[in-house]
Amino acid sequence: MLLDVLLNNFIVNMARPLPPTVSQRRRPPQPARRSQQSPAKSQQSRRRRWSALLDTRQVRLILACAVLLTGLTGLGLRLIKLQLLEGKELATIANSQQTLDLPSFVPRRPVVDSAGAVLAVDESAYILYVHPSMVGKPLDEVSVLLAEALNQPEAEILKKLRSADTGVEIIDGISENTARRVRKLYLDGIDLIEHPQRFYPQNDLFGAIVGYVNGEGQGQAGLELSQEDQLARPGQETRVRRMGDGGIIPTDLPAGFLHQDDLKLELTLDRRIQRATRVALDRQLANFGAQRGTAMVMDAKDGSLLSLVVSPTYDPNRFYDADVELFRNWAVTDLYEPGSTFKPINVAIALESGALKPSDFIYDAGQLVISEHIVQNHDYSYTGGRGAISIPHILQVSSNIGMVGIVRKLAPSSYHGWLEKLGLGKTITTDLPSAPASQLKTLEEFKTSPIEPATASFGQGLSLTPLQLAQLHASLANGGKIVSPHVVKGLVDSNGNYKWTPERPEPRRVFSEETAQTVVEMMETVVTQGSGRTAAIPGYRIGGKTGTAQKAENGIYVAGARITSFVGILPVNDPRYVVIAVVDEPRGENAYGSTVAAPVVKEITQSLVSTLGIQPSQPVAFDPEGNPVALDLEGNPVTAEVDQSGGVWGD
Amino acid sequence: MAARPATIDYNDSPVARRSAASMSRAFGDQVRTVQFRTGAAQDLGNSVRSLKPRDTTLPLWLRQLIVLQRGSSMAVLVMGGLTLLAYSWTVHSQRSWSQAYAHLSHLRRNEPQLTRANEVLKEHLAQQAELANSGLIEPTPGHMLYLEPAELRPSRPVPPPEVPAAIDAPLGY
Repeated sequence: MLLDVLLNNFIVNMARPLPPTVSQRRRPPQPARRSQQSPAKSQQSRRRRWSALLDTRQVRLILACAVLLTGLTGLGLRLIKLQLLEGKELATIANSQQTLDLPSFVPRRPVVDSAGAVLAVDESAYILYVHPSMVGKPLDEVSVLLAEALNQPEAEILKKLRSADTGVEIIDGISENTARRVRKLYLDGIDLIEHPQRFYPQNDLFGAIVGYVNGEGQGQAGLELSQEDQLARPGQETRVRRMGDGGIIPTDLPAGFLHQDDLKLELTLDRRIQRATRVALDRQLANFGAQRGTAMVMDAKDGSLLSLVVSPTYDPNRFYDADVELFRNWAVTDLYEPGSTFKPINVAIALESGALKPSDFIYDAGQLVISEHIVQNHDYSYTGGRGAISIPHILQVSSNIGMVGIVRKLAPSSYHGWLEKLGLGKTITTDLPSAPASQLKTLEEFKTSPIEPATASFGQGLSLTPLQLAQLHASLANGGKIVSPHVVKGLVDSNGNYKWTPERPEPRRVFSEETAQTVVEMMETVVTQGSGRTAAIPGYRIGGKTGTAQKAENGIYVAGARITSFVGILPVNDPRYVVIAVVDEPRGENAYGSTVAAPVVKEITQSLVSTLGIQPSQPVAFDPEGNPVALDLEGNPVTAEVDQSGGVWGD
Repeated sequence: MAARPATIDYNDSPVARRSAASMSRAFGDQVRTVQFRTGAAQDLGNSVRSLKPRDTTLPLWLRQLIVLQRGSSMAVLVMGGLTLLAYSWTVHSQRSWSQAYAHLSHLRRNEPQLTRANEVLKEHLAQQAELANSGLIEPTPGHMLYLEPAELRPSRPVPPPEVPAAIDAPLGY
């Protein structure tokens, strides 16, 4: 229709008389001169001219029409071809060129420690594919270029290039910089496929806690698994339109397209303390050829962990090379019998229930027979019975019989009720994954079999994780409250505002502040006078308790296998930090809680007080050799020598 | 062909006809109906008639149309200019948006790279420090100095402000 109108218009224009200038030029002569010619002659010439003019006009008209019609027909045919015959294919091609799916990948949120050091971050990695048939250059030339860009042996690349015509995977996991070098080669037939890759800068330092992410970007262990919801950024593929030069047309973009959130998962851990913990633990594991070990520092105020090390561990950057067993953080997942480190908890129970007074004396016969089971002190063979001893003394020498005496002051059902109240037999609430339920004998067993509460009194016959032991000691350090051990502080933005913080159960009071402080002060005597002297640091008031237990596997004690541990609480005047070290199966005759685990705690504590700037609570003097020596309130030096005379078995 | 406005009063006098013919010759078609009133005609005894100049003002509708035309021309001009401006702005903004987005993407790509480099460097330093022959020692409280915060100095007594001497003078002078 439109074309018709245009065409008619054009023809009408062509047929119109010529413009006035032209007509004037060709105008017939003026009448004055015309009168000189004969009328017949002039008419003839005029007709001839007009016919010539007409002829030219017709020819032009026909020509113009022909040109236009041909053009129009051509255009029409092309239109038919493009619209009807090739329309769908072309639309698909155009669509693919004009639209782009963005973003091709959404990085996971980084994990940072309490000081902001990055523990895990997503970065782009590339897989390089080459289609040798499309490269358009000799393959040996290409392989030289690629070898240089990738820093790989040229022969191997050439071999791969010759293996197939298309889709040859040259290398996986190349970095952004390398990918840039490959792009700068401007080779044809090259595909760089981007995919996210998690990078853990500290390698194996936080492996057991942070965990790892598999090739599909899903968390598989540790926090990467348990905090998947917080770490995975919400992001769906966005389809955008783009211009001829590849730039995105900034219309119709979804809200928040540009504003990727800057949230990071902040942990309570401190990299410096974590490193010091690892160094101290690894050194001692090597010294005693131990199978494995764990050490942690907990802030008892809220249950946040400042460090948590298990050794051996794995490097999450190379999780595929690691032993599957190592993916388990055994400080959280494995139960063990705490042994003597549980004794202060029992003392607190007895004090809190009112059955025991701090000034009481307990008769320690050195050995007892309970329902045909012989229970004795670790040092019975060379010390014998001690007679009536005070509660702090029981802890100092780690007397089993003394503990049995304390627990016997409670009814078995009451004692069992207390253990349940502390969370034994249940799973602790923590943000670290795979925590199991701890084990406690049933109330029935406690009532019917007197050996059960007796063994529980010195930490055997019940089992819990090292993390739960730390939680129980934290309840002594924080004035009697059960807190939830955790490592996640929350999601923090770049301005330091918390956008999300995990919900944790309210601290639950189990002991009075007075009871808790009394037990901590009793534990201090263990470090100043008892089996824990190897953990003493001049100037600092530290409470502690050693533990050396026979290792039980499937309910049977393994001969010769011990599990040594030490729990430290500091500073005693205002308890806040709980430091625990557990070393599994140290070798050697001299492997006890006091010789293996206590020095680890001492070293960790030294780093802890220097890093956090905790002031000494006692004056420090220097001995003639220049070593610092703590003085007690009377000015006498408090010695911290390792007691090499004899180990303390079962202490 | 705008004819020059002229008074027309047809007169049959030969002088008038002659002069009209000469005018016609001189101006061709442009002067068609121009007649002059000559002094001779007055002598013919015709009464004197005052000449009313022809109403030269254009009709209202035409004037309105002209105003409309001028107005619309101006509007078209302005709108054309604005359209050009708007178009160039869209092109420019799109281009600068694309450039800014490319820059943002580049920065986003570089950010993890920098983070990585920074952390790798720190890790490397920490590992170096752990080596036995690094010459560094682990921090222990024995190597630290703890300073007791000094007590606040007692505030110095400030002398009472001097009382301005009383001037024994009248308020107004």
